[in-house]
Amino acid sequence: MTEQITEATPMKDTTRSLREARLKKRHAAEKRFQWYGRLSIAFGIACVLFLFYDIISKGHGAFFQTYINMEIEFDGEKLGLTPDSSEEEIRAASFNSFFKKTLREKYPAAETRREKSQLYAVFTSDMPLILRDMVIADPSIIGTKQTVSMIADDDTDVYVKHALGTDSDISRMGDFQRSIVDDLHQRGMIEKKFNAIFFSNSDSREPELAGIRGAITGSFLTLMVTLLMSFPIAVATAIYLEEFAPTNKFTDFIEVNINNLAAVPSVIFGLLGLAVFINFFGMPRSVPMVGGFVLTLMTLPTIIISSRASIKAVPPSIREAAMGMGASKVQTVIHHVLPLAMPGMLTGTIIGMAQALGETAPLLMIGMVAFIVDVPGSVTDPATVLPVQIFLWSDSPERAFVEKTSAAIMVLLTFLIIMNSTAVWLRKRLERRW
Amino acid sequence: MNTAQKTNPEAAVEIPGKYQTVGHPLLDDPKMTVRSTSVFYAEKQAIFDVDLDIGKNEVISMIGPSGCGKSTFLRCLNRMNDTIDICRVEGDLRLDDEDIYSKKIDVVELRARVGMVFQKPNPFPKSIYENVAYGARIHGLTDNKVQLDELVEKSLVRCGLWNEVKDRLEEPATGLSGGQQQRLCIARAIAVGPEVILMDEPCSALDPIATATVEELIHELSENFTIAIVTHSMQQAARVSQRTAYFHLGKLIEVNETSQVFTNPEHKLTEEYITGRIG
Ligand SMILES: Nc1ncnc2c1ncn2[C@@H]1O[C@H](COP(=O)(O)OP(=O)(O)O)[C@@H](O)[C@H]1O
Ligand SMILES: [Mg+2]
Repeated sequence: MTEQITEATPMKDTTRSLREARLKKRHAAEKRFQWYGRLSIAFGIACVLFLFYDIISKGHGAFFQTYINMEIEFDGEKLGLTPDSSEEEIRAASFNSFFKKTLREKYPAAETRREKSQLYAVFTSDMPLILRDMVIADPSIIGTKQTVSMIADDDTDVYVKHALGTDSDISRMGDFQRSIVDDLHQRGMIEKKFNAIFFSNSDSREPELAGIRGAITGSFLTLMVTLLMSFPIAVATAIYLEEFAPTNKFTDFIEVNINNLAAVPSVIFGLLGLAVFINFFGMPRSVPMVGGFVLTLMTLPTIIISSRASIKAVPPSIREAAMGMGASKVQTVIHHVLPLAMPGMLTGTIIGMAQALGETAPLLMIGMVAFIVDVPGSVTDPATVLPVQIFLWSDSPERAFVEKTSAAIMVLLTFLIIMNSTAVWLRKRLERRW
Repeated sequence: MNTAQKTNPEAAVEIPGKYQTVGHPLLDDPKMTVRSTSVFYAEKQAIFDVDLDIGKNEVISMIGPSGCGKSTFLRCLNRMNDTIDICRVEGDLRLDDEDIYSKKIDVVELRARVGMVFQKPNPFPKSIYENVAYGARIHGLTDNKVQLDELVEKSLVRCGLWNEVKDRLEEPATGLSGGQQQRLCIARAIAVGPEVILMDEPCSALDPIATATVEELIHELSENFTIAIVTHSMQQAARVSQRTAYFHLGKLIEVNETSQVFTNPEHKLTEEYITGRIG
């Protein structure tokens, strides 16, 4: 060192220019590095924006549904009913033929079998049942004319949303059906309304009747089981390992394994759940309880690791203060460590829950992929969950399911964003503490 | 470090086997007695065979170069060393003739009788009130809110903090200044009615004015409590304590009246330390 300096002193100018060149290089490198950072952030944001644009542009249509307002005469003769008919009689009546007959009368042009079936196909195939339910709810409408807001079939819906007034042929509709829809449109009978069905119905083979209520309920029940199982277990584990366990080979072994568990692909947990809960303990398939157990296995490492980190972050001086006051170990933990670590623990839990909410693979393994029309009422009813519903719809051939898929993704993303923002908010609060 | 006239401290204290503490480590009628006490961190010995008495209502200060085991020794007196897994304490330590390391003694009870104030002010991140009330709560000292309020007020008054905080008892203690926090920690310690208070460099994180306030407080408290204080400031030791113990590399070298230690130390090492040649 000393030699270099003495050697350099006579050549002051050269050292300076050397230094300046070096400085320039350093500045350039710094600039370059900053630009790498900016570019990668820009790339990330662009990807997210593209994803959102793609999903929203595809999915926003699903929040609206095409209805056809049509005047229907509930002719007592055609139905074979009177306003005094009992519910049983109404149930026995053939609303199917009544509905078809009514339509044929409105569109006498439908003559051939094909044309007739295209006429019926303008509306959802459940329409006769919906009319029957209307009559059951209010038998006095028999013999009167009512304007009924009828649900359009998915093909009609797609046509109205995307192809009306254009030449594009994106729906699978026949020419005759098309002419009828065009006619309905011209007569101003077609109306797009907020799609309440999407939120109030469960899955259905008919896209226009399919909704996410069953999947959301299933997700909710599954997450509840996951939360109730994983939070207490994880917090107890974290506290024990951090505060009570001696440091020896055995606890080291446990620690390594918890960290490894966090890296196990979730599908393995699904297989484990299948083998243990369903095959060994004989629990039913496709139910939120088993799904919750499987997701508990999956989220435990996440919550344990973040809980331990937040317990570690509690300053040891607080523990010393409590112990010095004569608090026992348990009192120290419950009175001081836990309250301070709780926001961090909750953050970890929410992130774990968000992971669980988006998880599909392990649930496929335990049969939560079934086509389920009923909204699950308890954790032991067959159910599906939101991401599995998305998976199922994305696999369906009907074009109308494309927008349903994207809409369901939007709902799922909304839940995830809410959960993650809550986690961020909690973390902020934690930081403000000290 | 490399000045020639300075004696190598390690060589100077090389007294094989039992060494002799000079001065007057033992007293008649002591509050606490420490006999043949050694402390180990795993295999490493941090305190070597110390004999020392701590008198009733006296302030005894422990001085010595850093790392010489002052804190370790102090923490033996209320068994805070129990919280360190690798720490092992040997010897006979008594509080009023009760063996504090015997199985019959409950550390919870012991720590209520021997309170502790730490180097860095460490109030709980709770309200000022809760900080002082905490000890009373866990030891079940009061029956109702009125008594608890009284106790909190009394403790804060004794620490000269009452006037400063009486309008903000519900505010977080972490919002107080460093000196106020340290006095709050002392209030918290005396609220449970200890007999002995251990202080481990209680002023080292404070500015000179706060230090003066705390020293004054120590002086006042010494009327009612026995206080053992570790300090790295010889001036502080001289100001607050009646007796001073000098530790060196885990050994108790000298114990004498504070005035004597600072004016006329008996041991060569003590002299080197107080004249600034070790440190
Ligand atoms: N928790 C611990 N684990 C291991 N060694 C420790 C621990 N605390 C203190 N020591 C060792 O014990 C010796 C005395 O430390 P300490 O009592 O803190 O000294 P002082 O308070 O006089 O500065 C030092 O050598 C230190 O390295
Ligand atoms: Mg110390």
